[in-house]
Amino acid sequence: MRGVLPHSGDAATGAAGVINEITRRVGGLRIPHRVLSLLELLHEAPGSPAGWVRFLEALRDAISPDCATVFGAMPSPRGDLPGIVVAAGVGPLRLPAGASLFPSVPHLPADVLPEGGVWELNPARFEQSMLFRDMLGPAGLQPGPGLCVVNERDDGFVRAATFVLPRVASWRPTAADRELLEKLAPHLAIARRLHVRLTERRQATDVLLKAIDHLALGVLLVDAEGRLAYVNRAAAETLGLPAGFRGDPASGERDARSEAWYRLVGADRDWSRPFVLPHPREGYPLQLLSASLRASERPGGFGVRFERAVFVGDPKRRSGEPIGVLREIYGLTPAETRLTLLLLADCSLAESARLLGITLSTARSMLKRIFEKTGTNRQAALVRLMLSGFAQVRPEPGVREQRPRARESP
Amino acid sequence: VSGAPEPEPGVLVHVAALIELLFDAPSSPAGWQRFLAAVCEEMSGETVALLIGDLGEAGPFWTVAHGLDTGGLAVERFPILGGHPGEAQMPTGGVVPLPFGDRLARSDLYHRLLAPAGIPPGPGLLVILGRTPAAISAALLVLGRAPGWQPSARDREIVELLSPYVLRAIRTGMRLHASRAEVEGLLQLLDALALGVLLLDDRSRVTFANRSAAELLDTTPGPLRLEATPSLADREQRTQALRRRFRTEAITSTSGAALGDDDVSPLQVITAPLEWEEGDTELAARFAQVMFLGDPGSSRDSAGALRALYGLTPAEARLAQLLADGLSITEAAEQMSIRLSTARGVLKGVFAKTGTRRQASLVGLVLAAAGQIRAPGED
Repeated sequence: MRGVLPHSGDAATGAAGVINEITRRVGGLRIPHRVLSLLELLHEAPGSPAGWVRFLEALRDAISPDCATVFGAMPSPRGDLPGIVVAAGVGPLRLPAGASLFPSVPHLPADVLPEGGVWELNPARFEQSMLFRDMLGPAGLQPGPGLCVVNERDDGFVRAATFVLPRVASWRPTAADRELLEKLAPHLAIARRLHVRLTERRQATDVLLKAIDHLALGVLLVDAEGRLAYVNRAAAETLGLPAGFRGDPASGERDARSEAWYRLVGADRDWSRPFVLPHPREGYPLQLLSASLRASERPGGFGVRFERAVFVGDPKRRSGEPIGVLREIYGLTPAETRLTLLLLADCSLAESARLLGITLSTARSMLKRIFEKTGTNRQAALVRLMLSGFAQVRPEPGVREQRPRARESP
Repeated sequence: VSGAPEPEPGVLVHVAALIELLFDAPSSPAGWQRFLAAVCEEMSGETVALLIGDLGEAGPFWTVAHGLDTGGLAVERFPILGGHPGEAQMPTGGVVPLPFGDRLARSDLYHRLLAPAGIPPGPGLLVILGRTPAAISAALLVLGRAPGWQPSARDREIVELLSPYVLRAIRTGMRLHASRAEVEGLLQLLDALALGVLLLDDRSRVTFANRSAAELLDTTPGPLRLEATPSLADREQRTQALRRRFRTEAITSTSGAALGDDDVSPLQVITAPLEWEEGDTELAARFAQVMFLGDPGSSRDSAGALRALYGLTPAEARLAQLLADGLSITEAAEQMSIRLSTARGVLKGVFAKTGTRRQASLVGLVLAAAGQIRAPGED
């Protein structure tokens, strides 16, 4: 059972049924305002550990200062979501690497303990779990009596759960506490799903940006309000703008990097055509090409986060030097590599010879050996060979600027 | 919430049920539709409910309604209630009784959507969900399906109790929306590159391939699976394709292997480890390295871009393209069915316009950016 609500059926005719079903389920409960306040906090929790902690603190306030509230989730089976433990009422908890949370919890089938179900902890059993033994016990908590809400489960395992446990041995959960958790339980399951989805996407964004940061080609992303959302390292170096990704800023907010960008390219630029832009420091023309990213827009559905990508090509760039690669693949000597790189940076053979401090005839014979080793016969062919792959990737992965997690702040 | 007088428990139970629906709403337009249908069900008469507006950062917001066909109407930043001086004082989350003077009746929203469906501009209720400094830009509206309906005190109480939750659900929706649009945008960006890009896990299995990489490996492009469990069959297929191309089971992480033999043109392979923070062991295992594939035998049509960038004529752009594809001037002349001397003349024009003086410079120029980007829609 993945959802707590029926998801099929016509929305129009099904609404009364859904409402009746839910009100039947919760109808016997008195719903105090504090439940609604907790739900407000729970709505803010997905996607951020700090949000979960605020909710757990409020939940603890609503129950008793003698208890602690804990949320734990196992690493996802795909390995893309790390395990997490957060709590209120005890010090910070750290999930040891590779720990699984609920190994000794009996694997109750989903019809006995469904997602969104509330479960009374058996202290003798819970004491044996790794979660208690390695984390909660040493933090000073009692193994029970307590309550547990299943936030997420699959056929065999409880994968995420919220616990209410005694800090003081004499504390016992009351019927009202259980009722409160029963009211919250379906919301906890939904909040967990939202959290998983947001986290997966943030990770996907992170990994894709890391890949783009390796390109020697300059890449910028412009958001729907015309601000620069991302500048990769190559573009940052060429254009003299700060590199890195910028999370969701407040609507209408402008930042210094975007202002600098529009000073460079002009505010009312026609992006449908490529154009040349003078290099900000050296003056020679750079190539700017744009790709609209609006194709992801769906009618009546999702809009865009990025309006377009802008690619910046630098015909004379001197970065992206594949030194080790050229030695490894083509057996070029360091001197031959240096000559190749100068030719790649748009120097003539004579200029290159001068820069290397060798005579033109030495450079000529060196070039001949480079041609032999790379299987080329002309400078143009050599440049083409390098630029079809090797010179497109930056040699060393650098450290990208810390990505501001704007959407995670309170 | 805690400061307000305690409503009768009956209403709260219904509100709690609506909140449960609301919690699940932001994931999809269908989720919102279920919520809106339930709101109409709770109202005292025949009503329509409508969620509409632009919410800024997330781009144009969707239009969802119950009891009204919006036809996928995109609402581009028009005020829902236009320019009333009192609007500036109305806070986000506030509930406004309709009609609000004649404001709604004069709005684009009314003329484009409500009037054609015969829905009166009030009485009804409006929850302010987003606003610019001057006007309301996003709202939940509940209106009678036909003239004559008045919201009861209970209707109003329910809507007022719901309003903070609707606001939060909208925010969650915006975050979901922005995060998805972010990933989709980045995938499109990578697909625009002529360079092949692959992501490999710690066992050198392919977890992602962009369009160019998929073509080089003769396999289907593999987007990162975001909402479903990744298809292991897909991953396996792509991994096998990569291993066939490498002709080995062991894909080493050393950079720069040139792949190929007599029957396959050699590819340039550049790999780099992806660096993760210390705690991200699972991520580091799933996305261990990035692999770039360059194909020296490839040709990307950059003639259009060259014409726009440097004002080349069609013949000049074609010659520049052929030279960048690796042809000599003699071969290019042959290909273009022109005499060598004519080709030299054309090349002179290309040099003059691009500020280059040698073929090698020209090739570097074409491949700086123009030749690195796939034309839109190129297959």
